[in-house]
Amino acid sequence: MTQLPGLKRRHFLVGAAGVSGAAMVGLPTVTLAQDGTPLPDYVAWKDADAMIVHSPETLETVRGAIGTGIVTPNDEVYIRNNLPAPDESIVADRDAWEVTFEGLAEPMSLTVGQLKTVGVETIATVLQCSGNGRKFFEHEASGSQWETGAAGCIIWSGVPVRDLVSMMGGVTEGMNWLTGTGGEEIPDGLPPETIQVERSVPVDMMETAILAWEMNGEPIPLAHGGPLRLVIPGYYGVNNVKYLKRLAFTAEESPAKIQQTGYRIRPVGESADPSQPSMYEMSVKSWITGPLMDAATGKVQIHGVAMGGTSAVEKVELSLDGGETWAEAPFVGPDLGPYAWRPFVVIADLEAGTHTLASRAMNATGDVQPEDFPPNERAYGHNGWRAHAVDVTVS
Amino acid sequence: MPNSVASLAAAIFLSFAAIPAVAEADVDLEAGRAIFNETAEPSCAICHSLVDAEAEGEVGPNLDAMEGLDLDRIRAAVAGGVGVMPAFDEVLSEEEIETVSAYVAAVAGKDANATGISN
Repeated sequence: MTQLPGLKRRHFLVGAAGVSGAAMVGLPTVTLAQDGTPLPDYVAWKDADAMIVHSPETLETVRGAIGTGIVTPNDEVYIRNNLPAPDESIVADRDAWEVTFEGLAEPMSLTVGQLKTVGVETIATVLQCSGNGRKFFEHEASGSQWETGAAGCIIWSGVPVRDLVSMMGGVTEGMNWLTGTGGEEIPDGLPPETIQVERSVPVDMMETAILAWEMNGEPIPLAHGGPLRLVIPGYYGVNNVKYLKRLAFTAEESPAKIQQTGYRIRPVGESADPSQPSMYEMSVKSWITGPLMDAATGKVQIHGVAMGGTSAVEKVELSLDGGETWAEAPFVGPDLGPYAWRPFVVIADLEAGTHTLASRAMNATGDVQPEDFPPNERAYGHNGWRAHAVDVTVS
Repeated sequence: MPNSVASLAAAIFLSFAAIPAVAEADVDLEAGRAIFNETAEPSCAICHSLVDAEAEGEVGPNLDAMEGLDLDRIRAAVAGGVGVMPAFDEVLSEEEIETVSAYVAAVAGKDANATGISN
C-alpha cells in the first residue's frame, strides 16, 4: 500500500479502536471509512478502507486504492447520488422493473426480464463524476471536493439501445435527443422538473448506449442504479441515469433543471444558462495512483491510470521532474476498448530527495492532457496534469 | 498543486470542524430563516435538514453535518446550484441570497447528533 493512505489509516485505526470498544459493551457496530466517518447504511457493503465519505450521497475512492487495477471492484466504486437512492424494495424483483419507451414508431413498456431477451452487449467504460478534480481548483466552488476518486472503470452488461430502436420501428422524425428519466421519489410540494434526474444527450448516442442490468458481473447494486441504468460510453456520470424508468426520444432537451441549468460549464461568477456547454464528453486524462507521498531509495514502481475520454487512450508519458522531461510509460494488461482506462507502470530508480511525479495522456484523436485547466463556476472537468502531480519524498 | 502532508492534515481537520462559519451577531437570523423556510421557491426546507430552521428535508444534504460549509461555498451553491439543486439566482434577489447564505453559515452545525449520515 502507498503512503498516502498510511496517514489516513492511522486516523482510521483511532476510530476503529473506539468502535471495538463500543462493540464490547453491546453497542451497534459501524464501519468507518478512511476519513473516520461511518459508511451510510445503503453502502455499508463498501470497502471502508477504500472510501472517503464526503456526505451520505457522495463517497470518493481513495486515490491509492486504484493501484494498477483495470476494473474497479464494485465495493470500491465511488458514489455520487443526486437524490437519495430509492427503497431497497425496487431490487427485490429486478426482472419486474418496468421501463417505458417513447418517441418511437411503436412505443411500449418492457420489463427488465423482457429487455434481457432483446439483446446483450458488454462494454467497459470509465464512470466519472463531472466534478472529479474539483479540489484542485482554487475558487472555492461548492459541492464535494473530489480529488481523483470520483472515477472508476466498470464492465457493464445490458441491451444496446439501437437494438430496442430497431425492434420498435425506429425513432420518430424530428427527435434530436435521447432522454433518460430516473426513478427516484420526488417529495411532495416540488414540481418534478425541479430536482428530477432527467438528462438528454444527442440522439446519435443511441448507437453506443446500453441499458445495463449488470455491473462487473453482478446485478447492479441499488446504490449504483440497479435494477437498470442507462450507460452512455465516454460521457460524464450524470448522463448515466440510475433507476431508469423512461427512455424517450424527444424533440427538445429535458425541461428538468439538472439538464437546463445544472451541469453547465461556465466562467466563474456567471449564472447558469442552457446555452452553455453541458457536461457530456469526458476528456483525455491520467493520474498517478502510487506512490503518492513517500518511497524508499532504489527501484520503485510508479503506477497510474490513463483514459482517452471519447476516443481510445493512445499513450501516456511520465515525468519524474515536475514536467521538465517526459518519457512514454508502458500500459499493462489488456485493452478493454476505447471507453476504458488503461493502467501504466514504470519501474524507476529514484535518488533521495523530493520528486514531482506527473503523467500526461494522449488519445487517438490527438488530444493531449493539458498542463492546466481553466477555473469554471462549478469546478467541472479538471484534467490538468500539473494539479494531478504528486510530490514524493524518497529517503 | 501537488499533494502535501499539510493540505491532507488540513482536510482531515476541516472534516471534523462542525463549527459555524459566520458569527451569529453579524447576521439577520430572522430574515435568513424566513427566506430559508418561505421565500425561496421551492423552500430550502423541503430538501434540507437544519435544526435552527426546524427543517427536516431528506433529499439534499443535512446542513448541520456538511463539510466545508463556508460562506463563499454556500453563496455559490444557492446562486448557482449543485447537482440537482436548482440555481436560486433565478428566484431570489442578490440580497436575499446573501442573507440566507449568511444565515446558514451562522447556524449550521448546531445539531450535536448530526453525523452527515442520515440514512
